[in-house]
Amino acid sequence: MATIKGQNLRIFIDTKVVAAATSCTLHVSTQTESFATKDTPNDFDEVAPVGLTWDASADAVVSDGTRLSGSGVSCSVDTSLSTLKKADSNPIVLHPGETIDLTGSAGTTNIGLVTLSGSTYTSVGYAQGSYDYTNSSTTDKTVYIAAANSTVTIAYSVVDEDGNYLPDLIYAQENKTLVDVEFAITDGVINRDISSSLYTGEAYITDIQVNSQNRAISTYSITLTGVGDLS
Amino acid sequence: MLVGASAGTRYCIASATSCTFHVGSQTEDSSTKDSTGDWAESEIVGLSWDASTDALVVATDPINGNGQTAPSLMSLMLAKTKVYLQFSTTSPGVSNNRTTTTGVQYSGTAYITDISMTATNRANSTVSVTFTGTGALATP
Repeated sequence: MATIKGQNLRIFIDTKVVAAATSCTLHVSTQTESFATKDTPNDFDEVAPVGLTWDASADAVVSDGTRLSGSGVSCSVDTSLSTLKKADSNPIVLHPGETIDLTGSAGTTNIGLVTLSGSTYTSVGYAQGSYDYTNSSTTDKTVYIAAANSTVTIAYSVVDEDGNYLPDLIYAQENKTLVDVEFAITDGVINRDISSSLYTGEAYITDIQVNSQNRAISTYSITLTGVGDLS
Repeated sequence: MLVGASAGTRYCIASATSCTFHVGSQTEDSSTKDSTGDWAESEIVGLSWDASTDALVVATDPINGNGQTAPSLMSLMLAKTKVYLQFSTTSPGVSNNRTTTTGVQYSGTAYITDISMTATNRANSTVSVTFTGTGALATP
């Protein structure tokens, strides 16, 4: 039986998924009015629909979108300014939409990323002192941190740029931003590719509640109230 | 529970996990100074009925393609379609429990007044649907 699993139904706000979500709900309601009169032939009420409203909500884990971070990557590599070699032996997997930021210590010349195929390194890109790169493809990309001069330390962080996190949503609520909402079936590497869009509409973020219990993961709940039709 | 846009095209709720049928009487207090004792007296002044169902969210009916799914019910709701609803016993094990019997049957027309679709991580997606009756309920 082809039931749709909960993890494959997601809410997107302004084309970005509600990241780290644990559940989401779409709710549509019809307002009715009674028009039973003395002419109604029995005791049963008669109603007619007079309006429709919709809202959506989601629960998610509080996060700032940083999935990985580290520092102290040191290397002793080729000193050519334009040729990078792998500085750190640990591969970093970038999911679609993730950005890695590199910051070199004082005196750092070019730092960047390389990919490895067999025994061949290919430069992804580099810049002096600091460098950032976004995986804009739809598949994971495995990279290695690289540097052009020796004995530098490089701090790095991998940030999800493709999802809505609590700060993004609070900002939209404070600015009374009318957002595009999409309720869709997803799949893909990190379950964010829309395989079938179900319902779309515009809404305001009308409620955010953050819960932080001692010795538990902080979570938040968000409510969006629809404006206009849901299609 | 069977639902459709006409009496001849009512189909079972696909992948349903529960359904509820509810009839209510509205009463008004008719106690007067002529009433004996302290007990309240009331009269029935109206009747109403509603129904609800919970189901797993499926894109299409996995049994015979005719069953009402979350998307088909949502379409009926957004179009404000008056639906024909039947709450009925079915023959166990016959056609996936979809053949109705005459044991218990109630039918009427209604509007879909509430749909809530919930998708929880690591669980099946579920939908809850509420129908508000309009007009008389036909009883066996």
